[in-house]
Amino acid sequence: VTMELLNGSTLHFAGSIIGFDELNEFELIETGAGGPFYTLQSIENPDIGFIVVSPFEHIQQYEISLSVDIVRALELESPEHALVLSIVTLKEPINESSVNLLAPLVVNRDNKMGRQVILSNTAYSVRASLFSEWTGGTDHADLES
Amino acid sequence: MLILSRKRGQSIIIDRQIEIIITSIEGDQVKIGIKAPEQYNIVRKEVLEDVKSANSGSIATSGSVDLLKAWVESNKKL
Repeated sequence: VTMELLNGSTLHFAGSIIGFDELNEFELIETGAGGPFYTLQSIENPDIGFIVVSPFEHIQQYEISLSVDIVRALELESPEHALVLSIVTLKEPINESSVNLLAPLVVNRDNKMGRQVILSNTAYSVRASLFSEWTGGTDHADLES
Repeated sequence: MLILSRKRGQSIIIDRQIEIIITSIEGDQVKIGIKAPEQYNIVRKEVLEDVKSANSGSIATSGSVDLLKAWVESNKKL
């Protein structure tokens, strides 16, 4: 629901997306594919965009702990003000796609400031299987043929 | 690059706020303790490199979005 509210918003990542330090501003837009997926499109470089999804879609009991420093940088007053996004890596066949649960993007939905954060002391993977928990690994079999 | 010799239990201090302690040495493995203020994000280099490569490998293309669209549509029917 929060994702929908932020559709079309510009999010400010302050160069924190690892490997893309030169990019600060991203627009969150619907992919056109529907479902829970959104595109995080760089405003500064039109060639760079990421598919993102709420990690809570993937694992309901997903939990993160933010350092005081990140909380301060984002001016987050409470967890309810945070929107957490995970970057999706799409692969062909699509059932090999993954989602980065270890390094989520955390956004303050009020001021639109965000950071990519590498979680510590967790077992979450950088490349968790995207569809295994949603589909039971069977629904997408038709796609391959 | 500064290179220092240290023994087990010895440490170095960076900028009077970060302490790096050699806690144990076994064969080719060293255990290091780090005391640093919370604003310092400390990660293993290979984790950072891994996130970087995952990010670079996640740039959406029109082809990948089409794949996703096909998946979402086929899933709706179920």
